[in-house]
Amino acid sequence: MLLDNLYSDPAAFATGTGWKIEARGACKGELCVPLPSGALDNGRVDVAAVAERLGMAVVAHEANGTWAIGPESFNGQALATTEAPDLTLETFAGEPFALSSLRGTRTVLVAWAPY
Amino acid sequence: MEIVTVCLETLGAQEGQPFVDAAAPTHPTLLDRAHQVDAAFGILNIPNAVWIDEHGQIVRPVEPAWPGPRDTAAGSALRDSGVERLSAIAGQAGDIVAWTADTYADAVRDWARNGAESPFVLSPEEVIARSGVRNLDTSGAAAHFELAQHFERAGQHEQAVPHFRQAHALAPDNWTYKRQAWSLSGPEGPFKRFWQGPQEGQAWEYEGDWLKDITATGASNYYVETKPLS
Repeated sequence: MLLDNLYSDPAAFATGTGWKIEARGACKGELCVPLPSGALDNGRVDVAAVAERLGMAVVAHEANGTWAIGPESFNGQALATTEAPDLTLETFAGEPFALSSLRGTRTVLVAWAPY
Repeated sequence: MEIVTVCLETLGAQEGQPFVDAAAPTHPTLLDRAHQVDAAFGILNIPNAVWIDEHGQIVRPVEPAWPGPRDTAAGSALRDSGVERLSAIAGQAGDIVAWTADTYADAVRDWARNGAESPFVLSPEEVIARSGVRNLDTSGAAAHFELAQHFERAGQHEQAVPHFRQAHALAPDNWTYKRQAWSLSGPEGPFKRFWQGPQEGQAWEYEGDWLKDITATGASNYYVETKPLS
C-alpha cells in the first residue's frame, strides 16, 4: 500500500494490506500474529512496528514523501493463510467487483495480461 | 463453478479490451490496474491461476494454467511480422513448456464435479508450502513495483523507471514485474506491447529484456516447474 506517512488509519491499513489490527494482534482471516505494545498508538497503526513484525518491506520515495509497504513475508511463503484475500477489483465495464462476492461458488481465478 | 479472469494492466481497460472482445467470455472479466492480485496470491508470471473454494479458502495456490504453445492470432502476427526480433520472440514462445498443459483442464473439471473430494484439492499446509518463497527482498520488490505503477499512472515515467528496476533486481524470478515494465517502453506501433526490449541505436531503460532473459533462463524454465497436480 502507498502512504504519505508511517501512521495509518486501521481501516485503510486493512484495505491496503489485508491485515486487521486488533487487540489480539494483526489478523488475516483466522490467523493472528501478536504485535508489540504500541503498535496501535492513539487509534493509529504504527506502520513501521507492524511491518517489522510481519516482515513487510518499507520503501520510501523520498523526493515526494511517498512510502510503499510490501506484503508480509514472516512465514517465508507467499501465502500466510489459505483464506483468500478479499480484494475489490473492477469489471471491464468499470463496476467494482469484490472477490468475496464469489463466496458459495468454487472459483478458478485466472490472471492474464495483454503483453 | 465459476471462472474469473483478471487482467493485470497498469494502463487500464483499453489495453485488454480487444482481447476480451475477441474471446467474448460469459464469465466475469476483471481488471486489476494496480496488480493487487500479484502480491496477494504470489503471482510471478501470467497466465497463472488459483483455486478458491466455496468457503473462500484457497485449495490450490498460484500455478501455471497455460494450455501450451498453440496457434493464436497474436503469435502468428509476431511470427509472420518479418521483423527479426519479433520472429525470435515467437520462436522462444513456441519452446515454452507448460508443466500442467496436458492435465490442467481435466483437473479443473474434476474439481467442478467432486469439490472437496477431488484429489486435486490440496491440504492447507500444502497450499501454503506450494505458494512460493516470499522474503524481505520480494516484499520490497512488490513495494517498488507499486511505486513504479503509481508514477506510471500519473504520467511520470522517469520517476517510475528506477522503481521498476529495483523491483526487477529484488525479484528476478518475477516475470510479471518485468513484462509489465518492458511492455510500456516498446516502439510505437502494433507490436509496442510485445517488443519488450531495446531498439537499435536507442538506449534501453532496463537491465534485461524479454528475449535476453528468456534466452538466459531457457524457455523450458519460463514457468515455474510445478509438482504433479495431485
